[in-house]
Amino acid sequence: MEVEQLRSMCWQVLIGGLVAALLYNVALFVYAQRRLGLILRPKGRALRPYVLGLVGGLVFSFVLGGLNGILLTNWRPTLVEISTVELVRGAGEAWLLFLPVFGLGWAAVLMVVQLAINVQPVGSKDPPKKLDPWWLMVIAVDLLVLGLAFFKPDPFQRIVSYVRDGIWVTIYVTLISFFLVLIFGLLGGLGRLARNPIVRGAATIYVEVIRGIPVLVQLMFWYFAFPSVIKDLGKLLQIQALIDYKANPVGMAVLGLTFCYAAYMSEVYRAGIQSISKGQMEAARSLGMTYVQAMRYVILPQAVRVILPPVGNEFITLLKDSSLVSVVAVADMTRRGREFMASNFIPVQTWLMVALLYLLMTLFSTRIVNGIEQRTRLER
Amino acid sequence: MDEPIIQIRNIHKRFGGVHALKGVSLDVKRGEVVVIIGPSGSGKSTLLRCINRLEEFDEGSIVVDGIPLDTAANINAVRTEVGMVFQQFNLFPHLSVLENIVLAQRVVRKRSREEAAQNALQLLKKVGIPDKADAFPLQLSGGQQQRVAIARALAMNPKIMLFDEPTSALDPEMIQEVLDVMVELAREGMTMVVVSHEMGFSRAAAHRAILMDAGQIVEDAPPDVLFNHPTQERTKLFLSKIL
Repeated sequence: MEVEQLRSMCWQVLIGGLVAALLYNVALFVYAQRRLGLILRPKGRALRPYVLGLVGGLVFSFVLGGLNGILLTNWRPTLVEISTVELVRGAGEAWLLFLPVFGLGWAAVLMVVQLAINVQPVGSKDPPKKLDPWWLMVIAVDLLVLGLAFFKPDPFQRIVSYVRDGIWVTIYVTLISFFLVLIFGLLGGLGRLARNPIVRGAATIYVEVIRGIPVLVQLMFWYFAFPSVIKDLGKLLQIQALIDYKANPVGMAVLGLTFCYAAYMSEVYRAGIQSISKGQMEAARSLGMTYVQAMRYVILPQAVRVILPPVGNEFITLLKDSSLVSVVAVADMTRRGREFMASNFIPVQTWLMVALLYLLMTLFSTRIVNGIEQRTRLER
Repeated sequence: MDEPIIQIRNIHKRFGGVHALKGVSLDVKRGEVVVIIGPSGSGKSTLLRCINRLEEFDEGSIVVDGIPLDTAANINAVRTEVGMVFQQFNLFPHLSVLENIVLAQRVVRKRSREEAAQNALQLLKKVGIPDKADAFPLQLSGGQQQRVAIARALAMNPKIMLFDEPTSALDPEMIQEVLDVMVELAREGMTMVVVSHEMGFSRAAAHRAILMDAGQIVEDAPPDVLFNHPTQERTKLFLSKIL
């Protein structure tokens, strides 16, 4: 019975992983082609690289993601275990936990390789560039993490196992915050450029105030001060729901990071929009498009290309600054590292491993941003 | 029907301290081709840009095809009926030539992609570059880009076309291909207002030529009169410099 359950769990993991990797592959391709105006080079047989890319990407990411997972969990299949359900359980757990982190990472590596092979920038007559050699650095750090975990499982594998739910929290907090930052930053940036002086003034004050306060202080405010303000307000207005208000650490962390980074991002958007020549807006308006239509179809698609590098930088900074949320009761990678150190007294190894994990994520993000940027550049 | 399609009444425009347009009035009849010349800073481009309200004016009124330029909705309605071609082409560099022409047809005119694309291909044939539909603007020569810009404006089926120095940014050998398209357009009866010093075009296609100086219309006459027998001293002086 238990074997059956585990087997079905394993299938779920397998299928879930496949679907995730599939969606990821498709999204990357569609995005690259439609939104960023890339051309698939082999025009007549455009389907083949897609199919090859999808299948190759899936297999590649699945195998490597799984291997990463197996090496980073405590699971050690012995000869006895291999014939038992433990094999299924261990492999399932390994895949479940690490496929999304490392497996999709590997899939993305492969996608970039494929984009490099099949796609060339708009307007370019040069042959497309080959694989960016800096990927070797990402792979080197990944291998270092794996090597440490494999050859010195005590303490390195223990550390990774211990902080692995923290890895999730870090990724989760960063991605959600960044998504919100992209939206609110755009609103802020448009606000900074608005003709209406009230809107422009409000956006400017927001940006100036937020940029002048350290992120850490802002996070403290949202987690400690804000709930107490809400409670006082509740007492004042006699509303029980407000008096009972309890801050959710992750929610407040996301709120704090978003509020702060949206201010930085609105400046990035503003600069990007301003960098597009005035004639573009005039041409669009002269054709009868409204301001919103002109922004959406003409200005922003061009501005996105300009701001990709700074947006990538913001993402990486946000990823690193997400470690600050560990002071407001969010169990991210940094906080888990601190807890591990507190009970095991091996600071050097602990922080080495945590640092390597951060480094892996940031290097990886840099490469992705760089890859997209290179392949979407317009020749001026 | 005889009502002028463009009625400009006593337009004033100030840029900070500079009085760029000092009470300009001008009527353009349906099917008429008007060429505006004048020294730089005379307000000729500003006047042209006032007609589709890319430039706001401080006093006066403009009525285009019966629609006064006042509310935002009216301004957009006028812009849909008035095509504009710019000195710097202003093609959308992130879109292919075809998409450049298709975009506004779909977004503003709400045409289907097929209809818009068909229309675009026809117009590209008309301006003489049917083979460049899939190219990107920056892969084209200046003359080709400007012809795409004309096609893009024509795709909206405008009643009036405005040309703001359409050949000034072009290499000499590419000017003629753009002028040919414009002459053809004039022959078909399009109402056109053209800011340009191209005598060839004026002689071949224009019904009226206007000299502007210091924010005012100095002389308004048929082209051969204005260019060959100008009545105003200011016109003679200007023509002696450009000819």
